[in-house]
Amino acid sequence: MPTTNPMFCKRCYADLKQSGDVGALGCFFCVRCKRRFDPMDLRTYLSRPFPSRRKIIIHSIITLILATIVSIVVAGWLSVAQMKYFHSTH
Amino acid sequence: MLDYETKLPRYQSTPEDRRWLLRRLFYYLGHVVVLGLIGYWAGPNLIMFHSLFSPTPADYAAIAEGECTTAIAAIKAYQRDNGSLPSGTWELGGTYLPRNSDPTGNILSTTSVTFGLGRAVVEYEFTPAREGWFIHAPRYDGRLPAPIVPPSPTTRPAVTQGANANH
Repeated sequence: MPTTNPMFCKRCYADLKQSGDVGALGCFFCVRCKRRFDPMDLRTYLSRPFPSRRKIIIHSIITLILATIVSIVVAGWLSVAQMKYFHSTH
Repeated sequence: MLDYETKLPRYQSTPEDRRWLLRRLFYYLGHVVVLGLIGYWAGPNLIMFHSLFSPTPADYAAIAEGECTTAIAAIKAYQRDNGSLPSGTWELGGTYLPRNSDPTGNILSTTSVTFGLGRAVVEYEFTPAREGWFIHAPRYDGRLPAPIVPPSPTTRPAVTQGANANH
């Protein structure tokens, strides 16, 4: 392995140091999920086994979008749920 | 074709892996908690009440009393004079209650009257054992802390009584 930096798989967060032998095949693979990576390219692996800053931002945006959709659905449901108590001929 | 499966060594988990796995689980759990708090609580409250918090029973009681007391007092006056409940507030028009007064309350052969107030249904039960205010609102469904409404002093007009006396 040409680098001593900590390297972790972007898909399964496995320690990529354990995939050193595979270099003989011409490319590096995560031994757990088989994802390819390049030890010389920082964009192909993580320096810690945790979602990257970019992924955290994407997750936060997705969470907020989902929360907004859920809020609208829940508010709509709560608004009409009380109407069953209204005495009506319908 | 290369057979990577046979050439790749088996991954050996380390104690650090477990610690980071727990951190990632907390991270995802945090997102789920935020989704739940906003999606079920804060978001609907902002949409429905324009506030992070829902009204308290005391808030609902103040609104219900302000909007419905006159109509309920009129219904009780009608019941006192006629011995039965009307079908709704529209039967009280002109005599016990001003015509086209809001809100309109429905009784429809039940023992309570219901008023629609925004997203809530205010109910006043006339059965002596259970008499009182109830509300069916998005965040609260139960009895309201409001006093029992006495019947309004209004009775049937003297003209009607005189007309009955002539028969």
